[in-house]
Amino acid sequence: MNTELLILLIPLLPLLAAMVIGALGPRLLRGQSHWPAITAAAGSFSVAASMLFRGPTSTTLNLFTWFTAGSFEARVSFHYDPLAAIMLFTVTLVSLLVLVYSREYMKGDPGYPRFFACMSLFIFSMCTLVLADNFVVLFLGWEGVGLCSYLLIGFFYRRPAAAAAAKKAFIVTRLGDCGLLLGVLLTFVHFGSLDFTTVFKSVESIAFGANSIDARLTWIALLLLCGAIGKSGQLLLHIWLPDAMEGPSPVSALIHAATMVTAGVYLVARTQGIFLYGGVLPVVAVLGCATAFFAATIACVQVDIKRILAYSTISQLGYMFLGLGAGVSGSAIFHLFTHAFFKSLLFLAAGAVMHAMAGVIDLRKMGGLFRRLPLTGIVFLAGCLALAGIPGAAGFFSKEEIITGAFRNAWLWSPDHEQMVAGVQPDRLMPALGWVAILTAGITAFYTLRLFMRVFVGPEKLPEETGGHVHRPGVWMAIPMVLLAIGAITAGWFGANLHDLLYHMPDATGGEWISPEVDGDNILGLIGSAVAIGGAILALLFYGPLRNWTTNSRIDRTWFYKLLWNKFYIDEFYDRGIVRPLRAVGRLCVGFDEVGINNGLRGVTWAPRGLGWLLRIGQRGRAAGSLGGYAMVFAAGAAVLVGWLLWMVR
Amino acid sequence: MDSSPVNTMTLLGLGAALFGIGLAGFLLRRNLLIMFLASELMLQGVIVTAVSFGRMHHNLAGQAFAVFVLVLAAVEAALGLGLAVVMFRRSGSLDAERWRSLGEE
Repeated sequence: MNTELLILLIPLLPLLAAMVIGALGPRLLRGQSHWPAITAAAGSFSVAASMLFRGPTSTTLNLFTWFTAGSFEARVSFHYDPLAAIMLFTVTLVSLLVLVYSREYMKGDPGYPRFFACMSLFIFSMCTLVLADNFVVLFLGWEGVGLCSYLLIGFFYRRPAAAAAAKKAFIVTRLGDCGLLLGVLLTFVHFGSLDFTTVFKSVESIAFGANSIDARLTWIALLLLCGAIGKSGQLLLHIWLPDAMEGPSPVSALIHAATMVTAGVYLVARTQGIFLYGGVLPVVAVLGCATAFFAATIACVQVDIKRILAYSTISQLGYMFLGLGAGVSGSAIFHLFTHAFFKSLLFLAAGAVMHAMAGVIDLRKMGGLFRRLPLTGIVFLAGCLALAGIPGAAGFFSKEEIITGAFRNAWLWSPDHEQMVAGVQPDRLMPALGWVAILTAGITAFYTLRLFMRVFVGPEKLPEETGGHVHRPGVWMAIPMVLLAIGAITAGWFGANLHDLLYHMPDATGGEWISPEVDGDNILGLIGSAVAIGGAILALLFYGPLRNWTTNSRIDRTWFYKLLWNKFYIDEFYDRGIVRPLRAVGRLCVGFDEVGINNGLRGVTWAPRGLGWLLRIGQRGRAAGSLGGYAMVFAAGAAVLVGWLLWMVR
Repeated sequence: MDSSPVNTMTLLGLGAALFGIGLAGFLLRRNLLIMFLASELMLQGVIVTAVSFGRMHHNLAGQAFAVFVLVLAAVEAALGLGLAVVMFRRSGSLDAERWRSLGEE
């Protein structure tokens, strides 16, 4: 088969599966609804993998014209290049494993077909987003994954919390999407086209002609960044992601850890030329670094296993943004790649724990589960090591690359070296961010080990809900977890191959794909691993045998702990600052509608009512309803009319 | 032209008288059948008036009207008598004052 057809298969198979399950699922397939989904995902994955191992290829596929409006032509076209290849490989692999896992995890759920239909639709949307050759198709995929995310967060729609979380996720990401849409429109206004190739070529020609940063590019980049912030849960729009954990665990693993939330990273990486020449990269770096740090601190004190992992996801996405901002997009994509493995693994393992604990996810209610759930414990530990950045595991390599990138590549290729960011010279700003990133790596190790120890180590403690019975994961759940655990340890070893691939990105993607060298004698690597191990040891001291494997009550009472426990009061801030004022405005509008408009209209209705009341007098008494009475009135009326006519013709 | 021994004013007077008698009967009597006949009488008064005017102006418009009104009167008679019969069966009386369900209590 030719390449074009193969590429087309990757998104089309899951779409087909979604349609088949949607049409036949509830009636015919029922408990077998997973088969179309798993088959399609396996097909997509094998195509994506074979394409990836075929080496760097770039092709463009023009499918059809969606619509034309004036000079604007929306074409549905796909573009396959190494960046898309890596993304597709990651997405389809994790999808396949998560679907296999879901076969057991979701078993017996009344919404079983709905789940697999939505998941397949999600895979289709995500592949479309990644393969898009222009902003229109990208936006289509972007909104598609948003929709599927909404549907799957609210999967247990009878639970008010799940419905609210779905709404929150949809509305908050929509805020960012608003910016993205404006950015796309602005791109069309300035460049007259939405094709990536055309736009990036124009961007480069603009940048090489000018000696200062182009404000148009800055605006476009900032607006695109808004979309990325919303989708990837970066600071101030991150609030939806922890709540999104109301969805089933496989959804969290696939959508809110490995794939959809990385769409923002992908967007910035894809359009990095606009960000670079618009001078917005420092903003991206600062944003990512701040997000990584704050989310990591919050994760240190939370007690809901999945929420800890959600904050950790936000934090790791922050790392990716830092990498993008530091100009090492290749490393950001590398981190995306490794993160997909270990974070989806952690979510799946958390799901297995939740499954075993009869739905309880609060780590205060459990402890010492390792003996009961040895396999889950081992894979969870593998994920933790990778996340914590312990040398050798996947997270270590990619995280070190980003930190190194922050120190070394302080916009060496920026067109404007004198650009100031909030009064700080870039050359001084970037190393500062690098140090924060190293500190964050320590915090990451701390909360990761805390999570592992409180759940799996120490004296055994089971929540009452289980009734003493611990349900071990079966084969369908175990195999994906084991495979992902292997990936979580080994994925980091393929950094060089990945960078080789990205090196072959076509020129017309705006900007170069630089990868920093992380070698053995890298002092930063040593510092990073030392800090990570230090964080792990700190966790051992705080929650380990010295403290009887429980929490430290003296720390719990400090204001700092309270600040973290309440997640820096950002939700409260939105509640007080936006939600409640909006509600007050709404109430004001309702009041105005009630008092002003409705009463006015009621007043108007009094006119015919009053007239009717007056006329009704004629119907009272003896004459009421009698034929004679009516005849009399009629005759009198006719007499008056005749009299008036006579008077008129006088 | 006016070769007829009857002059127009006499005819108009006859029409007005018929209409007046019919109106008085309709307003004063309570028997449904009588009221019905009275309304027919009014119609005849109008027809006579229309034909008289037609005769005065030497055209057939008045007579054409008369034909239409006669047809309408026949139709209305059929309907009205049917209603009267139904009402009589329901209440055993033809007193128009017994039917006042349209009025307010």
